[in-house]
Amino acid sequence: MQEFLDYILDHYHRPRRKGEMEGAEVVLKGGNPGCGDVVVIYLRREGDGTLKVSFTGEGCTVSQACASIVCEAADGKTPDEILNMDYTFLEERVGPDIMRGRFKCATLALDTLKAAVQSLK
Amino acid sequence: MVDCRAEFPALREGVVYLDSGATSLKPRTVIEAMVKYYEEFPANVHRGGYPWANRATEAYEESREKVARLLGAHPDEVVFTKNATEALNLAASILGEYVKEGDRILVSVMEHHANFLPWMRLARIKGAEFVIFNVTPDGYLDLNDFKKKLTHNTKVVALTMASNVLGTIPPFKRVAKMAREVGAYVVLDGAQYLSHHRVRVRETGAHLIGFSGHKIFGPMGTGILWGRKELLKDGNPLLIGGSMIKDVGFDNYELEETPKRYEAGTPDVGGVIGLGAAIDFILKIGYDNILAHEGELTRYLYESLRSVPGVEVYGPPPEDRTSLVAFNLRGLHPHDLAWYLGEMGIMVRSGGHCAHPLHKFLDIPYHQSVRASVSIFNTKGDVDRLVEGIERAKRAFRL
Repeated sequence: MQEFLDYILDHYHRPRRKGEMEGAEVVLKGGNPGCGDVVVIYLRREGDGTLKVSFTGEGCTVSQACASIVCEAADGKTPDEILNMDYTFLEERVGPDIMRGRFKCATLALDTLKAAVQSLK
Repeated sequence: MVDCRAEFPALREGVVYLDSGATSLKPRTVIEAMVKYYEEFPANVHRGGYPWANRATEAYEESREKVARLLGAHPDEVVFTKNATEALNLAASILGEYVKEGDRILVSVMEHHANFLPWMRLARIKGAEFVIFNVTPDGYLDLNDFKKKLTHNTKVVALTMASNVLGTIPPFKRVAKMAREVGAYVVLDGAQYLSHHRVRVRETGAHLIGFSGHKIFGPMGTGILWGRKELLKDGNPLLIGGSMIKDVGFDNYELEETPKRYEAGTPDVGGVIGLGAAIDFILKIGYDNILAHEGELTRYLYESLRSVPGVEVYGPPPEDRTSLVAFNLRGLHPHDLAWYLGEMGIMVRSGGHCAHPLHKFLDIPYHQSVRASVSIFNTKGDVDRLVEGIERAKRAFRL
């Protein structure tokens, strides 16, 4: 499990695609302060049909690292490609223990991202 | 120290359960009492005259008498609910009759949401003032702040008997006395208190007290509202319907006397019977032994956690707290720590502990914390495992 934890810690301490986006077409907040994890997804359509993706947020290591993992992978993809990303994508990266034990934290960003993409359609 | 681990079937080899503050484990005798009911006389109560029904009713009412004896109350003053939250909502429903526009409802900042939100909502509905009194930075009740806010229009004072985050045991008798002097009703939340301390309800000065059954070794789905009979006599139940009426006409109804008027529909008969067995269990061990065991363990837990570099402990020293300690490890979110401990078989709770206003008021990092709570079956070895677990988490998260 340590290997997965180190991967997560890398994304947590050096988040990719983190920051508000100027000219975002969609800003969607996921999670709730009561549970402690919040991820805000920013989306903008590019001329070639792909999407620019970024996030902001706060919360536990897993939720914030997964936001970074998901946004890094989704940035530059088409809406359909993003909608085809599923939990297998996450499980391959964070491992089965974290997916099982931290399901809500791990899936928050991906679910929010997909809801944001849906709202573009 | 007491050794009763063998009486808890869930305590298999290697299990470190440090979350009795959320719900206590159930002794074998409690589980057996419930199984006996379901296997031998599983009928509904207060209906039917056949042998199973009579036996079920007797066992159900016997539990009420056990609760009454435990609390030093009359059985008519004991209402079964599904948990402490329902008990406190019922308290708000009963006192709602007395709260008017412009009255004040005074609630401490260290309340569990169960003794916070029913009052906030009642104040909104009635146009009353909802006022919060504070704790000091070291986690004690701020009596000066309370006195300042206790005005003559204060109609309700709601206070916990033991904080589920700080562990603080506030001077609730003193608070109740002062509140009564201005004519306020006093509602206490005894959910975290009754599993560790004997309560004589009349000596508290309260009018209504909510308790949890499942935190005192009883089954899930059990709670208790104790109230003074003169207040329960005409109170407004949360639910109306089956088995709580004297008569129903085409456009009118007449409610039963207390406590039946508050127990609409089929109750959790098996659960209440199990709760009776839980009270037998507590009394067999004895509150003196419970307090001695848990007092020593709480001190050990508090000191052990404070000795871990990077751990910040919240609330007063062990002599002024109940059997739980909330803390954070610097640089790690409480969810991450509690999860990692869980992977090692060490069960603690993380989050806002249904006390978000308190976490915000004390500006606790992340507005959340990890909480370890001990009970009669825990050992110093459990605490040592927790400390080792935190050290391992530090290494795993590269702290």
